[in-house]
Amino acid sequence: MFDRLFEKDVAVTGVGQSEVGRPSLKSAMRLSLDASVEAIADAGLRREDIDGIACWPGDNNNGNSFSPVGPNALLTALGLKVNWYGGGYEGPGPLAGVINGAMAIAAGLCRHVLVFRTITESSARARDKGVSALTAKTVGRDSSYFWQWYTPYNVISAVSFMAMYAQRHFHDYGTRPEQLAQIALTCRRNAELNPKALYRSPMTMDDYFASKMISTPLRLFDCDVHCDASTALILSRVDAARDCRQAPIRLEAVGAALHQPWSWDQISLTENAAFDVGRMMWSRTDLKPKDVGSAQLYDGFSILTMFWLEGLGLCPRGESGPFVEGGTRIARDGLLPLNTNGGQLSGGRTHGLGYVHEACLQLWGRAGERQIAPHSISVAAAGGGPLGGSLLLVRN
Amino acid sequence: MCPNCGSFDVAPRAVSGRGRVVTFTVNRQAWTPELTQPYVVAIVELEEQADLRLLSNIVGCDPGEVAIDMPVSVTFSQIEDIWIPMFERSARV
Repeated sequence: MFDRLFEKDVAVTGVGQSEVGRPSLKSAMRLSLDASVEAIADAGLRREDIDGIACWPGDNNNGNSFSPVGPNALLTALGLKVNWYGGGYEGPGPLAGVINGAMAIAAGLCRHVLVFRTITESSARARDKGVSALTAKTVGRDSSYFWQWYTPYNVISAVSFMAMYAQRHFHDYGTRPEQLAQIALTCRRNAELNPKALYRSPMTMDDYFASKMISTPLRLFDCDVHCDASTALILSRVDAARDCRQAPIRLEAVGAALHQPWSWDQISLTENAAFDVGRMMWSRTDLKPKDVGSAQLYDGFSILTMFWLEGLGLCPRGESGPFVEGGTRIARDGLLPLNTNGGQLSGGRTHGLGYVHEACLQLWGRAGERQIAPHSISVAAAGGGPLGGSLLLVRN
Repeated sequence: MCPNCGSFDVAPRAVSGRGRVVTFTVNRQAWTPELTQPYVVAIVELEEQADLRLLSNIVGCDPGEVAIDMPVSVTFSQIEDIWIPMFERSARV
């Protein structure tokens, strides 16, 4: 359908991540620098090799904790000399920075792009719990577009939408709470082996059902945990990637589609953007869902992981409940190891790039105690509601 | 503009105020100090057209009674000079 697929020109060559604090005592900029310096060194590059920088959502509302550091500030602090830089909220979700950076490389603007995502919601919430409300995240951007229709009804957290999506999925497909619980339980089991994860003590099904109901049918343990952290990765043009320190991880295919209104209530309530994204991604590769060796799928809320499993064709539509039931298939030694670092539910809400970071560590065999069996293909996806993007990653 | 057919022949039109619950949630978290009681957030589809839907609250009944496909009808909550459309359980079946 297209004679050229831009992402084939691009590979991940290095990753880095700051400490994941709850809270961290470091500044947002220091966290960003820690992650960036680590990623650049991990790729075997120097700062002067980096000629592009990308971030989603960019400098959010002048330092709001959802994204306190944008490309302008970080390129300045790092002393980069870039040929291209970009950020901004409008785009296919938390992986938009990766997709934009890859496009810049494929378009011939730059060779090595630093992609990063910094978030300091933990320390910000210690001062004011209201800062992480969706209303605060979107001030000055899209509040005039959609948020005015929600706040009069006391829709203050994104969980209101996620809970309504879950309720409809339960209704249409017979999905049950003890099935949904497997997302949280699986993440916790994986977090037990991740020294950077925020919650590492074992969780039982009883613990899950004892957790506070936030908004039916979603409980506290269906919601991710705020943190202070920065995650970074280096994208390189494939010919330049050969000079890097480790085997390049190619962007085999990206998904970024939205064939529906950009809206949290007018979009498909049981698909969100995930099916649009999945169809696009698989149309750009000869690989198939059965080829995927590990999946790092957005779990800002557990129900969204279920949507990604279905939308990316990793299980049939409507069957994510039976697929995850018992947790065997999605365990580290299962058919499709899921969120092997503990996801955002137990690992921390690094918000998007954490999935790519973990996918790369697993593909490189560098995931330490939580390392799963060797494999060369992983999928990462992030977003909920109208936000959604995915990456199919292949280690050469 | 109609995003489906591209026509500009569009205008506001009165509707019946009747619909059904497409999905809902009973919120139990007190996001602000005043929100101490459970409340129902729902997406309601109006009977005039498939997928003609809006987000609202279901009021006037026990949150435990709300269900998907429950018929509802509009009721307005006045806040200063704004009348906010909310929905209550309808007697119609």
